[in-house]
Amino acid sequence: MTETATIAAALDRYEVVIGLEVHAQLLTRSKMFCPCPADYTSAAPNANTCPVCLGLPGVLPTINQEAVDFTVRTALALHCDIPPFTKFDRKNYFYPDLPKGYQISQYDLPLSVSGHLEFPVGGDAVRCGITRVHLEEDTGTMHHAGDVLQSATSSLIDLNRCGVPLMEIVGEPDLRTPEAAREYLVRLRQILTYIGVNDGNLEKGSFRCDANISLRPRGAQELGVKVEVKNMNSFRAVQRALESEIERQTEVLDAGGTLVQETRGWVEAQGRTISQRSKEQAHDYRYFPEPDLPPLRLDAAFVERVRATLPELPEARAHRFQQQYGLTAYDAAVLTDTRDEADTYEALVAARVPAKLAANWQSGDVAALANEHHVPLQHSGLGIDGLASLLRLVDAGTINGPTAKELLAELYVSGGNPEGLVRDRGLAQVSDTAELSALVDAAITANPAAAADFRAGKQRALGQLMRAVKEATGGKADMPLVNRLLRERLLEQ
Amino acid sequence: MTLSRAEVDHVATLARLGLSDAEKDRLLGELEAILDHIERLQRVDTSTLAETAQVGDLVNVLRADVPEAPIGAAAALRNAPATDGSYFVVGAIQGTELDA
Amino acid sequence: MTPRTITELAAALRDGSTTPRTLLDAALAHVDRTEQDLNAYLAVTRELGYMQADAASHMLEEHPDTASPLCGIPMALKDVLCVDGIDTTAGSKILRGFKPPYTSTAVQRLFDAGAVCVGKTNCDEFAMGSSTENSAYGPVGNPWDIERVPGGSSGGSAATVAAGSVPYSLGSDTGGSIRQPAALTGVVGFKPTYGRISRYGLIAFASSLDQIGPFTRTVEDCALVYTTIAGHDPRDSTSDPRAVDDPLASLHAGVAGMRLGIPREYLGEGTEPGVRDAVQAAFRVLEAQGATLQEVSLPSTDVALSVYYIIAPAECSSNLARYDGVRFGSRVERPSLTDTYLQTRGVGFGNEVKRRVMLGTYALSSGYYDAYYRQAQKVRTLVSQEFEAVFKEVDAIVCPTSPSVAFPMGSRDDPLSMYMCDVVTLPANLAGIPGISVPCGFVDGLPVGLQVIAPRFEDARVMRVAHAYEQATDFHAQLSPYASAAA
Repeated sequence: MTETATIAAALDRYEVVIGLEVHAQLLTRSKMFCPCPADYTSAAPNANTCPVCLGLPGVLPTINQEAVDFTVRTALALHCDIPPFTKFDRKNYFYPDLPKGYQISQYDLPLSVSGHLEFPVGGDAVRCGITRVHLEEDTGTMHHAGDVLQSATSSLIDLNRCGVPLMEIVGEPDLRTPEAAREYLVRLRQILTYIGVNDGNLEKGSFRCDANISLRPRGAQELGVKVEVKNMNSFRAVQRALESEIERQTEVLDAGGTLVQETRGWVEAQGRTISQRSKEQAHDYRYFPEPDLPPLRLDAAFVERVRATLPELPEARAHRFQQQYGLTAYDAAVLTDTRDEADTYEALVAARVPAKLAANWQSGDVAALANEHHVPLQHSGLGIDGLASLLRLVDAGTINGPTAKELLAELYVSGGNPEGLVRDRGLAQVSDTAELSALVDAAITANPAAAADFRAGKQRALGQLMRAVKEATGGKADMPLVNRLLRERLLEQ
Repeated sequence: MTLSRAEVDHVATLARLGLSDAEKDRLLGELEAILDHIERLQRVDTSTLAETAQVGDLVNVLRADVPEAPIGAAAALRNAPATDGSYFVVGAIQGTELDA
Repeated sequence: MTPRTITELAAALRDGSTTPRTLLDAALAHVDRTEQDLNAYLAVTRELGYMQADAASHMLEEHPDTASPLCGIPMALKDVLCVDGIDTTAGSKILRGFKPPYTSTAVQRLFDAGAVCVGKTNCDEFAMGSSTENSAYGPVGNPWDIERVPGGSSGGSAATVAAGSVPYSLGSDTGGSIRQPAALTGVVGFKPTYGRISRYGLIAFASSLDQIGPFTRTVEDCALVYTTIAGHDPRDSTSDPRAVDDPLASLHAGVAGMRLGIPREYLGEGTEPGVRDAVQAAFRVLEAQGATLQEVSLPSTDVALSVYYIIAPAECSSNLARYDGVRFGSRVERPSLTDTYLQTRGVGFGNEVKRRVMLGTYALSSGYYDAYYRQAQKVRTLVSQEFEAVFKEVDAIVCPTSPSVAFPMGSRDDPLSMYMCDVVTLPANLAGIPGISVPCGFVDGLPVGLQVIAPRFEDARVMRVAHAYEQATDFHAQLSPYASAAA
């Protein structure tokens, strides 16, 4: 059986229950509990550290206000409740990437609870509950000699990442397929990047995901044994890891075996999960309230102030694009995929580019150029204003489509003023009826066979005549007008 | 209140304290005596009492998100028992952890 | 008369009869002469001291009127206070050789005022103890009888002031670690309201209880040091932003008309008769000054000790997790990381630290949290409520600082009997309220301390009562043999 068929067969017999935990680094300028720069990737190892994030004796944490705001903004985007009282707790465990021997996190009174996320999976709307969104600090990073933890004789520790604000988003076990799990993550990442709190980079680990998965026979009430899966650093890896876990668990259950509650790691190269830690080895984190930080009381005024910073979310924006600009659902989704994309679109429309025209160009040629050059429009030579003036020339009939395409490709890289170039190079479209009629007549005279073929009913023969007129104008002819004039002249004779 | 030797072992492991058998035996007795004394706490009716995690009435003590210069790797590493380049170094991390 | 107090020395520095260098020379010579007996110092900061003395001289020459009263005056710091580039061990082997890359806020404020650092003082390891016998670097002798302990955990800071090496020092008080050694060595020791003095740079024992405070010879000196170091610090989120009352403004206001409460539980069976007599005599002195004394009750005093011995170890078990031999401190290298952790901590920590880490880890561990830690937090609320109720009846509490006078070294090897030392000091830490100890007599040549406790942020009131008592008596002026010899 193919993998897909195996999964489908498994899903016939077992209900799969999946819950996801996402850790997302916040895009603050400084760290969570100290003022060190939060940018940990560009500095030399341990360069972005201070006594606080090094966990030296005697230091104390201070709470980054922006991190609190960002977490509340996220919670509001996920329809969470913001309780009036919240606090930080210590989660105690020993590991070399955790200098204090405890992580400042949140335990029983998180910043937010009881939200949800809605997204489509294969045409159906899926709604997944959000248990909580809380705030904590990231750990440092470790490099193992030989890069294999188990056989390494020593490990190198870099604490630049230590203390970067980290948001934990715990989803309810409402997901039923690996595909739904993937779509949940795609939509969640879209929202986080939209609201400007996270850069959504799975590979670099600024957006990380762990999954809990269990299987139970269809119709059973009781939940199956839960397995936690870690080490998945792409959307594809999440889906594959969960599929592999479904296969593995199905085999065990089908053979009459029982599963053990454990943590398993996804090994990309082997395409399977391997056991990391059993429940018997589970941590006893000894959570208790962080005595170094007074609690937070977030009143309604605070929540409303943060709510006011919340941009229109992608789903709502796509809906509005359909209503306001008459776009198809597909176009609206494409143009609202990222906040930059949607902002660009609305900037074009605001710059008097017709909605449909802007949509076609932005999602077509402009997207292709951005992809080719790895430069988004706003950072290209042309810029949003340049594109708007180019498209206004198209809309006004000043230049034709092919000319616009060529100019776009050139200006995207080199930059320049489209109106000036059209004027200087004489690229304006020839749409004078009298001038074109003369050229049409000349073309018919010069190509009698094609004219005869067309009159005999061969539509394709018109192409040769169109090309003749186009060439005569140096490519600048208003081709729809040429088409009309040719037909009129050929059929009247 | 009786504390078992197994509990002493477990707690020592949680706290990452390498203790000799003699130390564990001694601690077992001492901790039992302290826990016996502390037992009187259980007689206090606390049904109407809130928990005090810290004294004072401070709330919402927040810092503006303004970065300050870090101390740099050289200062960070100055007290370290072992370093490699600008990294801290530790010995082998075994596959299984000790958190029994 | 030899100037001994900050006030006297500040005047001497300004009238030209001495200089910061002369004072430092004398302090260092005195330390050299007495260290063999006292072992009060873990490090003598000669180089730093002379640098600061010279800087202080300039400050005094250029701004004699605006320079701080502390300018040019020698002092010592408990070795739990971080000073940039200066060995800071917290009395522990595990921190041997550790040089912090930063200076604690309270110490920086002293330095900015022109203070001259003589050294880092000996203490119980990580401030855990009541005798300074738990220092990894040997015990401290009590200047009144070197066979006896100076109290603890800030025993070195207390002893060096009592011995007359320096006019003041800083300590830290988590359950009585300033007040109790002050009482046992016959000096003034003050624990301010929790949140008044920044804890940034104080090596943490129990974060919700720790406060820095001064040892001095007089209450007026105490007020001078306190006003220099108190006040909000953005680096300590638990430091209070409210304006600090100037204790000097009300220092001489006296106690006439004040209502003072004597908690009946604080003079219980465990109180030595000599201590009881001295303290009761002190009550009469306060009465003679016009105060009204009345008995009050703090019924939870007995359980407060239990609350303390859950909360303090629980917090310490977490605070001491950072001593893992990875980034600083000593490390016992083993082939595996886990064994390195176990041995580093097993060898690096002393018995009392291990005991409290074990106790705290147990109290927080799965299945015991509710019975121990949560229950302790609730009873802690009760302890605070009882103080609040008492402070509706009286303006301040007066009582012994310690149930006993200085005891012989090695005489309390049972942990519980040692814990009992703090029974009348630790409730103030649980409630976060200020307390001071001021000398109030002697029993067989050993000092006794009178404790004054007031509501939160009434630090000035505590000093006002203590000062009124001090001015009516001369116990504070009596010198230990080491101080008399220096005269």
